[in-house]
This record gives sequence, structure tokens and C-alpha cells, in this order.
Amino acid sequence: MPISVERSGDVAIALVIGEYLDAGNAREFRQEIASVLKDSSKVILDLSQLQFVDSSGLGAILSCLRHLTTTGGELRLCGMTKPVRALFELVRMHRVFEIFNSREEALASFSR
Amino acid sequence: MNSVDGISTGEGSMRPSSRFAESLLSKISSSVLPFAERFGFALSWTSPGSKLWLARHQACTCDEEVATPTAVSRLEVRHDGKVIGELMLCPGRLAPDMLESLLAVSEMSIRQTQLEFEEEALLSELAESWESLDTLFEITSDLKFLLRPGEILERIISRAVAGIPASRAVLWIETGGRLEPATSYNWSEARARDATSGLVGRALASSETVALSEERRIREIPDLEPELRSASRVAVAPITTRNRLVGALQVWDESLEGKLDSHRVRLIEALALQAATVVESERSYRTSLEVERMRNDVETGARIQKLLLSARPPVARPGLDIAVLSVPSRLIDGDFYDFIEFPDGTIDLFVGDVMGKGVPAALVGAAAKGHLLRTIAVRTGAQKIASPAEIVTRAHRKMSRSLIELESFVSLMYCRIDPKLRSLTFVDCGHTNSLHFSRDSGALSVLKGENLPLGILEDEMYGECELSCQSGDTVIVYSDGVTEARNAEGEFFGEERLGELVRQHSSLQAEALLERLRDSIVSFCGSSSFRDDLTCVVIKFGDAGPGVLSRQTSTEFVSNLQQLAPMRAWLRGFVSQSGMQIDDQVFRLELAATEVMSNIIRHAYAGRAGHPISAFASIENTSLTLVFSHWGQGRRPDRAELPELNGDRTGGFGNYIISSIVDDVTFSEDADGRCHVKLVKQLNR
Repeated sequence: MPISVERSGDVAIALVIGEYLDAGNAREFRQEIASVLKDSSKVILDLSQLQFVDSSGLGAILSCLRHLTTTGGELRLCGMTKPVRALFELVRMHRVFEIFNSREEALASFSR
Repeated sequence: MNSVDGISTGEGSMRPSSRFAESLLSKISSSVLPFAERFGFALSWTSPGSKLWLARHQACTCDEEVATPTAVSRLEVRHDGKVIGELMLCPGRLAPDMLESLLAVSEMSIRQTQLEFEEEALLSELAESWESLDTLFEITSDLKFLLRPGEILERIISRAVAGIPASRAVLWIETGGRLEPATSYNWSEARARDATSGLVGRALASSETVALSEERRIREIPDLEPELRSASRVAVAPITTRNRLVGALQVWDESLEGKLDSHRVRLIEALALQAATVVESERSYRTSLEVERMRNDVETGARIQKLLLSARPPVARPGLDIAVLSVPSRLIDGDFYDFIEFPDGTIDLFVGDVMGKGVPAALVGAAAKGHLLRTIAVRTGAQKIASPAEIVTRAHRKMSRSLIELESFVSLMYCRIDPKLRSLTFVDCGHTNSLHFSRDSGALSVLKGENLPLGILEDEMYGECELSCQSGDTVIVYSDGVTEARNAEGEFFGEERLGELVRQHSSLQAEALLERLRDSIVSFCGSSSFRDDLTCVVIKFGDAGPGVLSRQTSTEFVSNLQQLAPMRAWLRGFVSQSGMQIDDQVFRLELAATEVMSNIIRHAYAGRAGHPISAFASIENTSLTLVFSHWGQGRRPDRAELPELNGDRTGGFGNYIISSIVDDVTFSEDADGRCHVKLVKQLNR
């Protein structure tokens, strides 16, 4: 479950590379994203490649939010495909996260 | 000349001590500082241990704080209930009205920052509350599945430890003024103790949850329990039922820090409430057991035998949906039933009723069932399975003499179902009429045979009748406990009401139809316990049979989380080949299927790799059925996760997702211990 990271100023943009985030690779995701969360307090998770996320994947993304909130950081999500968006709405998590359509919009939200 | 110092290069070069200050000063610098150059005033930010100049002018003397105290305006800034700093504005040459405006703008910036942080805290609390709700949802699902009380208490305590979080816990039950440890987590020194001393005693005396997260404050408690002497956080919630003290839930840790805020307290109180329910029902159960034991021993023995009178229905298969409702009466009765699945796919079922009540009837019932099963076993394995009529006749020959001597007789309905031909061959021996509802014509007809009950004529020959059914038809076989259930006025529930109910709910699945029937009888009688046993079997014939191609498929997977993606691909393939569109609803099915299979791998098989999981899918009209079968631990709800203190938990989201997406989930286990999880969903084309 590779994650490619770009920086824009002090913001880390992490692109999740893979078609799905489920119970089979959620642990791997947590391990990969841990270093990004350690280094940056402003993180954008780009989910545009994901076509499927299950409750384990959601739990992993939620733990990113928790980690950042506890350390005073901020998390944005962008690029959600329809199925992934449907999951977030099903468990009403779409109100808990800051979700944007594109990276640019997510980035812009940081310089408020 | 004024100099404007920005935040990052302020004099004293001390950065603001908190994120709040940073955010506030950022607002101040864009709203107020631009005026400093033009109007010449000084602005500084003082927080404990540091002073930061945001703007200064040459004439400013406010360094010496005492110098001109009245000239300086101070704005105290509070966050999280504490004063974290002070904005000081030294007016210099500012005109009074300008000063007023700038102070107002500064106050607005302070207020805005406070609101932002409040919102952030609320969102964070919301996310954390999700975890608590998640936990509570899991527990609620647990109790539905009737775990043994000891197991439920263990799960409650595991969740308390995960949710607070903490590393040790104990659940105390009050017995005769002392606390006995019912179950503990990560603490092996739990021993019975006094209920009035220490921190726990304090919580119990006040009937309120005590939650402390400072070592100092914990150590202040007089008579502190020895295990809490090195605790860094502890929470104790009294467990009470009907204002009676029943026990306490004690959770603590020795190194974790951080305040235990209100929703953690609420969580532990909710868990204590759950524990109260369990303890209370365990107490009543134990009491009633004791009372039972004081009764007739033979009756107790007969109760055990009663279990032999019932059976599990066969599980989902293409074209056939069978479910059974079996409600034993308050007293012992003589209803019995069973199902036999033959290798060629035919299913035999029989429902019987022994005349009379009490232990003798139950024993006769058990014996009759035994004779039938033995006869079937002996007659099978020959070239052809014996016909229903032959089976009943032979079994009867073995029993009839004894039945006559006992002056007992047995009514019986024996059916053989062929799912391929959708035929029902039955031998009705004086049993209550069975019903057949035809979906196509809407007609409700009665299935009745000409035979006498067993035990009337010693050498009776039994004859069978045949019924042909269509897809969508329903057949109901039931005992007279159903139609002879009485209401307060002495009226019978009757065949008509039963027929009407079947007609009204003919489109429901067998299980759902039985639920409606049960509810209907309960509300008719005004009670959920009955004089007679209620036995009712619903048989529904469906579309897909082995002769029909394309609408069903099955495959095997292995208990490995990497198989989730291939399973989804298999499901997508099946759905698209069946002509359904791949769209949102397919994604939702994939999600529900993923959660189910994930649960089987992680819980039923407890993470052990390499075990088989069969998957079966069928589409019948617009109804999709998915069945996952395994040999793992049956549907006991997920074993509580070992709490990992980095917050790595998976929780009840999965169960919630499954139940939100599909129309129906059923868990069943057949006689050999093979477990099945069946999902049913109506699709839109």
C-alpha cells in the first residue's frame, strides 16, 4: 500500500496508491501514514485512487484524524470517489472530516 | 517613527505559548497592526513568562508597567477556562474614538479565535463520541445473541478498558455487604473485599461515578485500595438495579495521563448499566433455577428431553426457504418435529403432536420421533429412499402397540419436499390441516389427508398425497397450539386468521412471516406464554433451481484478509453477468459482503489463516441472496478486541454497515456445526 507524499509549503499531501483500503491492507496503511503524521501537522489525504473502503479502512483514516487533532494538527480529505463518499455518509462521518473535491481546494483551506 | 514588529520577529523573541495565541495574534496582525504605523500606538502580548511586542512607537513608555497605568488598555484573553495572556494597547497619539474602534476590533478577534477552538473541540469530541457509540452499539448487538452472562461481563470489561482507555479493570458484584470479583482484566490479585472502604466505597456510598486522573488526587483518598496506589487514572462506576446496589465497575491505569472527560464518564456509566442488566437477569435466572430444582425431578428431566423434541431447519438453498417457529408452552407438552436432508436435495420434515400434556406426552413424543428417525435411517441407503407412506407405516408398526397400551395417540404430518420439482408429498395422520397459498392465483387451500392418527389402529396402512407447487408458493405446517391459542374472551385464533395472515404477508421470507405470525398470536392472546406448544413450519418455493442456469454461483475462499478483494471481484462478476447494472447498490453489496467475510476471518476463525469459507450467490427475480459458510465459531458476536492503547480498534461500524445496507441478515448453524451467514437484498433493476 504505497503512499506518495508531496509537500506544498508546510502541508503534506499524501496520495494513497491502490484501488481499495480494506481489512486486508488497513494495517499497512496505518504503518505507512504514521511517518507522514509524525513529520507534518497539516496533512491532506488524497483518496482519488480508492474505489473501495470498508470499516477497517475508515477506522484507519479516523485514527489519522485523531492523531493529528491530539497533536494540534489538521487533516483534510480530498478526491473521494462516489463509493467512498457513500460509505462516509452511511456512517455519518462526512460531517466529522473536512472533505474537499480537489487538492487545490483542500490546500486553499489551510491558508484561511 | 514607528516600527512595526511582526509576530515572528517580536522583541524578546518569544513565540506565543500556544496554538490559540498563535491563531489570535495572526488575526490581530491583519486587523489591528496595519493602523499602528499610521497612528502610532503600541501593542503587546503578554503571556506567562514572555512578552511580545507587536507594534511600538518611540514615545512609548509602557515598558515600565507602573509608569502610566491608566493610559494602557488591557484585554484579558481566556481559553479553556484559564487566562492565557493579555493584549496591551498603549494609545500613544491615538484619538479616543480611534482607540475605542481598535479595542473593539481586538475583542472581536479574541472572540473569533475562541469560537474556532470551541468548534474544533466539539468536532474532536464528536469523533471520540463515535467511538463510544460504536462500543455501545456492539454491546447492544451482543446481548441480543444471548451469550452466557459471564461472557457478556467479560466483554463489558474489555470495552471499558478499551474505551477509557486503561490497562486494568475489575467488575465487582456485591454479596452480603462484600464485593466479590466477578471478572477482571489484567489483574490477578482480585479478592473479595469490604464494600465500604476506599475509592470504590466512596463511589458506592455516593451512588455516583468517580473519575480521577491525577495521581495526587488519587493518593489523597483515605484507605485507598492497594492496587490504586500507583494509578495515574481511575474510574469507578456503581452498578445499581432498581436503586439497589449490585456491584461496581473499576477501571484504572498506571501510566496513562490526561483528563477523563464527560463522555468517558458517560461511557463507563453506560457499561455499568449494561452490567446491571446482565447481573440482574443472572440473579433472577439463578433464583428461578433454584426454585425449579425444588420441583419434581422428573419434570426437570423431561425439560432436558424437551430439547430433543425440537430441531434446526435446513439452511438456505436455491429455490427453497424453510423456517420454523417453536414456542414451548409453560408446562411440558408433546409437540415434536424434525428435518432430514437427503444427499439428492430432497428434504423430509415431520411435525407431530401427542395427545395429552405433561411429562408422559413429552416422553411419547420423543419416542415417536426416535422411531421415525430410525425407520428413515434404515430405509435409506437402499436403491431408493422409501416413500413417506412406507416410512410412516413402518414406524407406526413399531410404536402402535405401546401407544395403544398407554392409551395415547399421536397426530402427525409427514412431508417430503423436492425443491427441483417443487413438489410436496405428504402423509397427514389426523394432524391440523396444513395450508397452501398459491402466489399466482392468490388461492389458499387446505392440505388434508385421510389417515388416522398413530396409535388408533394397530395395523393401519398409511397413504400419501401429492401437491405440486409453483415458484412463490407457501406451505404452512403447524400444530394445534397455533389455531387453538385463546384470547381473554375464550375465542380461538383459528384457521381463518392464520390463512389471512399468510395471504397478507405472502411476499415475505419464511422467517419474517413467522415473526409476524408470532407477533399476531401474542397480541391476540395478550401474552407471550401459552398453554400449548406452538409449532409452525413455513416452506416457500422459489425460482432458482439447479435446472435454471445463470442466476446462481458459488465458490470457495480461504480465511485470509487478502481474499476480500477477490471476493468482491467474484461478486461484481456475478451481478454483472446476471444483467444487473454495476452501480451504487453493487458497491453497497460489496461493502456488506466485505464486512461479513472480514468478521468470519477475524472472529469466527479468530484470524487463523487457511480455513475454508464458501460463498454462494443467487438472484431470484430482484432479490439477491448471499450466503457465506464456514466452520468457525458460530455467530457469537465478535470477541472483544484486545484493546491496543494506540487506539487501533475496529468496532461495531461493521455490524452497523451490514444491517444498514441489506434487508435481512440471518445467522444459522446446522446440526454439524457448519455456520451460515445469509444476506438478502432487494435490488432495483
